This record gives sequence, C-alpha cells and structure tokens, in this order.
Amino acid sequence: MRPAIEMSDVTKVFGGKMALNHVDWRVDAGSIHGLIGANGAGKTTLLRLALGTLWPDQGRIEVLDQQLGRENADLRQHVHYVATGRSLPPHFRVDEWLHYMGLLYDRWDERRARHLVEAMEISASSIIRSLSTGMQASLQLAGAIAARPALLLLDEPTNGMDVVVKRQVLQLMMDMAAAEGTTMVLATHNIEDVERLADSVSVLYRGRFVLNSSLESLKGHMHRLQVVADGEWSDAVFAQPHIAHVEKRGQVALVTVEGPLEPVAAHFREAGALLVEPIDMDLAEIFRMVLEKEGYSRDTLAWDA
Amino acid sequence: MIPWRGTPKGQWMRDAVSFREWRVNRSLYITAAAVMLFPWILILSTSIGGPGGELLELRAIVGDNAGLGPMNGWITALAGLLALGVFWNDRSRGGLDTSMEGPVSRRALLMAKIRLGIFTITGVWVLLFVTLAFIALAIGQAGLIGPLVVAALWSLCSAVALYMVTVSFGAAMGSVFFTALASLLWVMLPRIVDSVVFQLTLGFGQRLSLATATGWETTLIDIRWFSVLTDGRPTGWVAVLYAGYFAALALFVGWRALVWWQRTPMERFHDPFYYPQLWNFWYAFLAILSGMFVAALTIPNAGSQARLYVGALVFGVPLWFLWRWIWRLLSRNALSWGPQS
Repeated sequence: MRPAIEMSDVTKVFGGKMALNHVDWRVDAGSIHGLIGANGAGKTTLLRLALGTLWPDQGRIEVLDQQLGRENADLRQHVHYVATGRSLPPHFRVDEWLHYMGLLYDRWDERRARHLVEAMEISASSIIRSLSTGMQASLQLAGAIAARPALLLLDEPTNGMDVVVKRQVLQLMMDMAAAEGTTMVLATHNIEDVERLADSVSVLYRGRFVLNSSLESLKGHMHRLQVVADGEWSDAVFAQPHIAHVEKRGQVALVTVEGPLEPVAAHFREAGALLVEPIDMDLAEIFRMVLEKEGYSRDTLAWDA
Repeated sequence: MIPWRGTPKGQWMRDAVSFREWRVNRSLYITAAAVMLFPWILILSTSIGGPGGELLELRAIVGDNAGLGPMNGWITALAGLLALGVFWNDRSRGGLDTSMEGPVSRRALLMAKIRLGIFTITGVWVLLFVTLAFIALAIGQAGLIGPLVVAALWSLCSAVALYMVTVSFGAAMGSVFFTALASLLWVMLPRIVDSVVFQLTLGFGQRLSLATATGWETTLIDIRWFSVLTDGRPTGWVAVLYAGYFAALALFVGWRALVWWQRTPMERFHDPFYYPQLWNFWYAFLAILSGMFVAALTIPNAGSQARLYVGALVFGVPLWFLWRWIWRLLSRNALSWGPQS
C-alpha cells in the first residue's frame, strides 16, 4: 500500500534535548493510525514534522508523495492538523473564522461546514474566545472535516469534550475516513479511541518507537484464556512455549497466550481443565504484555496511567 | 437550529492572508492613521477657524513652519510603533503560530503586514499632501507645490523606512522588548555617531558634523539626517537624496526581513532572538551602558565627552565578556529565556 507518511532516520533536537531519536515511521494511505505515548514522548513533535511546520535536524520525510522542505504551504492544502489547546484566533467570530477557512482551502465544503457547526450547536455569531475548550476543539474538527484533507493529523482531538460530543465527533471522523478515504493519525492518551478507530498503532517512548503494528495482527497475536482446574494447578502445565503470562487465583488461572489460541486451549483440556474459556483482552493489556515482553519497563506505559 | 449568517458582511477581501491580517490588526491600522492625522487636523482647524490672519496661517502651514516639518517626526515615530504593534498583537492575540499551520506561506504572512503598513503610511502622507497642495492652490501659492512634493516624499520614505526596519527586527526577534530596543537604537545611532564625532573632533580644533561646517568638513555634515527622527529636515536635492536612501534601505531591510522570517525554525519563534548570534549585540549594548557608567565614575575629568567615550570603549571590551558570562549564568539558573548554549 502507498504510504501517506514516510519518515526515515528522523531526529529532532530542542535546545540540546533530543525529542525524536532516529525515527522511522510509516502510515499507510487511507488508514487510521493510532499514536500513543506518554507526555513528552514526542507525539506532537512527530505530527508537526509531518505537517511541515517543524523541520527535522536529520532524516527524510515524505508526505503524500512529496518530500518536505522548508515552506510546505502547498502541501498543507491537503494535510490538516487539529490539536486541543491550539489557539484559534480568539477575537474572530465563528462565521469570520469559517469565512477565512473558506478563502484558505481550495476544497472547502461550505455546506458541510455549516451543517457541522449547526450540529455542534455552535452559534455562528459567537466570538471564539467565548467558546469552551471542547467547543473550540469541535470547531477545529468541523473546519478540518470541511477542508476535506487527504491527511488529517489529530493531536488529542477529543480532550475537553463531553461524552456525547466526543461520540459524535468520533463518528464524524469515521464517516469522513470511510467516505473520502482520508488518512488519519490520532495521537492520544485514550486507548479506547484508538481501539475503536484505528487500523494500526504505534507506541512512542522517549523519542523512539517501541511498537509499530496493525491492530488486527496485534489482537490476533495476543489472547487470554480463563482455565479452571479440579484442584490446584501444577506449574508444569504452564510450561508451554506460547504461554506469555499466567496469573493464578486458586483453581482459576488467567493465561495470556501469544500466537494461535486453539493449540493452547487443547493442551489445557487434555490436562483436565474443567473450563477453558477465551476472555476479552483490551488493547491496553495487549500493549502492556507486548512491551514488557520486549523488555520495556512500566514507565513506558505511563500513557495508561 | 442556529441561524446561519453566511459570509460575514463587509468581508470584502478575497485573499485569505490579507483578510486575516486586516481582521487581526485592523484596529491598529485604523487607530494609527487617525492618530497620525490628529495633530494635523488640530493645526488646520485652528488656522481655518481662527479670527483673521487665516491666510497668513495657511501660508505658514503650507510653507512648512507649522506644516510637514513637525508632522514628520510624529508620523514616523507612529509608523515604528505600528510595526511593533502588528507583530506583538498577532503573536499574543492573533494566533500567528496557528495560522502558520495552514496552507499559508510565511512570505505571504509577512508581506500582508508590509503591504497594509505601507498602505496606511502612504495613505496618510498622500492625504496630507493633497490637502496642503489644495490649500496652496487656494491661496495662490502654486509655487509651493514643488517643495511640498519633495518634503512629502522625504517624510514618506523616512516613515516607511522606520516601519520596515521595525518589521525586519520583528522578523528576527520573538520579543517585543528587544524589537523596540533595536529599532530605538537604529533611530538613535546616526545622532549618537554625529554627537560622538563632533565631541571627539572638538579636541582637534575641528567641528565636524555641524550643519554650518564648510569645506572638507561638510563630508560629515548631516549624519543626523540618516536618522528618521531629526530636528528639522533636509530640503531640495538633499531631501530627494535622503528619500532615495530611505527607499533603498526600506527595500533592503524588507528583503532581509523575508529571509529571516522564512529561515527561522518554528520552535524559535518565541525566543528573544531567532539567531543566537544576536545575543552578542545585547551584551554590547549592556557593555556600552555600563562602560559609560564606569568611565564616568573612575576617569578623572570624565566630564569631557571625548574622555568619557574613549573610557567607555576601553571598559566596554572586558564588560562585554562579563555581561555575556552573567547573562548565560542567569539564563541557565533564573531566567526562563536566554541564549540556548
């Protein structure tokens, strides 16, 4: 598949502190990619490099088949960045800001912008600074959707939104991705959002990627079984190559399996288990297992705190 | 349903960057133009409304005694403040950083500020010139129009030069304080040089740089006119020459402004200086000030200007290194901003 973003050996240093350290990153065109990392891991830096507003100290970045240089203004007709806490012009009225966006973007969809702003119950005559953080974030998203970008970079886009608006917004993003084939990168602390939306996921830790995988293969690779024995479990039963982790609670054991599930389930049935039942494993647990197995400390998983 | 107002009324600009610049800074452009014209309106209304002698008053205005001369310094100073304001306002309230994340070139953003600023200043001077020319014709002094053109040209160019110099500093510095200081120093520099040359050469029995000087000494006259804020103003061909100098300067610094603006990494946009080397000028400024102070305290007969300047220079060199060391220490331990290394 054609990449929407391709970075190779990218390094970025701020005032002597390395924000990104020889990073390679690829996001496939048309996919929704979740980017997870603790505060200060380098997520925002990575997105701004992809946007072309920050310039790498080393390495090469290609976005939508165009190698980034210094200006990159033309490219940003097709790449849109949305971040919570990013200041929209505070003294503009909402309609003035949308008018400005309409002048700015070649593919601006006025009707869609109007519809979205009305759906979000934002008054066109409101001054932007009078809107709540959540409403400003919603307004930014409405602008991003109406600009119809080929690549949408979302930096904690749902922070400050109430549950109902957040659900609406996530639905809008999924609809947009489905209708327009928009590539989205979603940098967030919220793993539920990633689990719901993303096709692939990366975990960034102190300026380096520690995990980069499709969600399907990640989920297909890690499973959990609940097994119940007649009496106490013997340790020898768990000495299997595909068993990554075991948590015993008397007769019940929770077994994390890496790789195909069925052979391990069959092994427990043969060992006399009363019950062998697959149970759901959420994405956070999968990340924790994968990263701990790779030798990263719990500090790596601070995004899950 | 919330009523939709569509395209806001009065938003006649079809270019996104110009629209944004006007929306963010329109109060500054309008206020600057009004304040530039205000003293002139007072002078004119007083002259026209005064009892008797109106013709004499109007002749005086057109003939410069109360006309373009006093207005020049006022308008030029306001032009500098306007440049400072359009950057400051955009950085602090206008969302300049955010606008750079859109499909807008940095060049276009700066050009919009340059265009609207020059348009404001030119508009004011054209209005003044047209009014004065009309008065000159009305009172039968058509011969004054020629000198008026020259005076207006010189004044316009000097105001545009200060606007462009301040824009240029604003494009290389993320701090309004340093931008203002740099512009002020640039304005003062020719007057300081003029004063220093005069004082130093007094000791040799020459009075260089005086406007009344003659012969070879005239090579140094009018240094002060290189400053945009002068006492009086040049006239005739000298004024045209200086107008040309200011126009060339405006073009040069405008070009430098665009280069600096386009080359600065985004992460440095709020640093006092985009280019770390510029800190050296700050140390030099502090060294000169403190050098003058130390010289005045320690040198006998430092009341002599020449001794004071030479003393300040001698003390200034070690003080430059001292200030550099102090500032780096402060920026590491106490200040939130300062040189990075």
